[in-house]
Amino acid sequence: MQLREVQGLFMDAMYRESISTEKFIKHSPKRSADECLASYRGSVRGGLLKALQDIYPVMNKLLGEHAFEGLSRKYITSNPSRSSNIAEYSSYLSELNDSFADFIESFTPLKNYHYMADVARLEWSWHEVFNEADNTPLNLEQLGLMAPEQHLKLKFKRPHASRLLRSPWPIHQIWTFNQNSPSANDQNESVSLINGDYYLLVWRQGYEMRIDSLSNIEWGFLHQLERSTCFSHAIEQFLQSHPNENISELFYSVISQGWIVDFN
Amino acid sequence: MSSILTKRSSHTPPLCGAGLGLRSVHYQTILETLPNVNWFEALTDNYMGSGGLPLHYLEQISEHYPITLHGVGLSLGSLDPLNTDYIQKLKQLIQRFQPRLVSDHLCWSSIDGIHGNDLFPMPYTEEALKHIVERIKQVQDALGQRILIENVSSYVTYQSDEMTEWTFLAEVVKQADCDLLCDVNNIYVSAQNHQFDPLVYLRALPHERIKEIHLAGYEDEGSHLLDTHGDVVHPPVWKLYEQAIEMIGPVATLIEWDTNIPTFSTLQQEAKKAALILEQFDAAA
Repeated sequence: MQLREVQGLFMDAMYRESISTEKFIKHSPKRSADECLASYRGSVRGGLLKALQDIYPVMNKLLGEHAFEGLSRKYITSNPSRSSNIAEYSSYLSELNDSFADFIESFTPLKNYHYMADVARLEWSWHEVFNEADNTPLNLEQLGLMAPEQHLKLKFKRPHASRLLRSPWPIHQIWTFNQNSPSANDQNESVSLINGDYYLLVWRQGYEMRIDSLSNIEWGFLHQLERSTCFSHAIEQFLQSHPNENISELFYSVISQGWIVDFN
Repeated sequence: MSSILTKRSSHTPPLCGAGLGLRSVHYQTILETLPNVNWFEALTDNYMGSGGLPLHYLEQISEHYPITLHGVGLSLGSLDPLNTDYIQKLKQLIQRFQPRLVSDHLCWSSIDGIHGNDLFPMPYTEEALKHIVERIKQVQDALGQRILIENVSSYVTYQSDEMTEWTFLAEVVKQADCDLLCDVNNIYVSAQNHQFDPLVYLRALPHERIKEIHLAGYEDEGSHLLDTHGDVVHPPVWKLYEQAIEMIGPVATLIEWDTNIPTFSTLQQEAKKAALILEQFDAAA
């Protein structure tokens, strides 16, 4: 049997149950060929489950370990890993639309828990930001040397280690509430699932992980800065939806918060 | 490639003694107490991110200790194209941290873009030998240095096998002109699972190419041994290690522990056992 066929059959057996194992695997003195191969199947699936548990601790807590494991095992069998780096498992691949959050969104048993998918998106953002490139603070001196009209031609950038999120659910409160053990939370304390608009920036300031709640104005401004080719275009676009905003004050505010760290 | 190797080896003393696998739960202890450890081995794949705390800690620890890089992501035996992005990141890590040794495994992990994120054994065939030798050469050329290839523990053998694992491994090292990371625990686990004599395996290896040894703990599942890296090194593995050192001579030895990670002092005790065996044979030589 050629190497390609061996590797194909082996990998099939990792994500699917029924396979003619004896065709390519020998039995050992104490175990059948299928039992031998099952050691790898258990290891592959166990490794991916552990990766999901590490990346989504709040989801694990919200669902409970047993239900989270059940959900994860269903996800794993229908979504094989597509990266050599297990820490990238469950990331979003646009052509496949197969992120863990997307899976949760379409998972029938959770159809009445609309906030779950966005909590998963928040946890994935946290995970990505943790390992993102470091940023140095904004070089205000260099910016100050430029004439104000030159500023309009610049493109201002958020830290690499940052993600903008928007949800109709209070996912930041849910996330914060679940950082503590149940005993640490007051028994009368709870999170009200008030439907609304919640704007977040998940980011890293130095090595400190942060989740900042933003106003819709701040979120919209940062979002526009990201989408636009230069500052003047961003202002123009932003003022169309927020004609009464004071851009100077807003710009000063986002810079002083550390949400802008670079320009070119 | 050879000029880079010569340049490095003329300035850097060879790695020796017992080292420890670097795990994130021990970062603070290491930096606060600067324990007496010969060297640390970092898991390459944990430092493939662009920034953040893991790289920050590795930077600090590398200022005090020699570092080796040990990866699981090259998938050298796979028929998928080599992951050039991974190799590029590995090259950047090598330039940044100047590791004494760089290693990965005699295995494959992916096919047709689907990954197992595990270390699957190769079929020991002429076709597989030719393929993995070529890939190791390509990686070494891209990195500009020799790498170490580690034998994996295994739970299967293939119907298509044409030679023994030790014959295959010795040929890989010879034909690819790479070095060898000899995992004594893996030899013991596979020997028990497939009923071969581990000493026959050890004798067949090119001893002059063994630059590092790994030791770890396994779990006895009754019908087979499972290589969990989650326990102390078991007595039969210590015995095999002594026989290996007697055969090969003192070689830098790493204590690996990846699951149920214990206190740092437990790891140090395990390293001390390895160091005593190394010293015993060093003195005898």
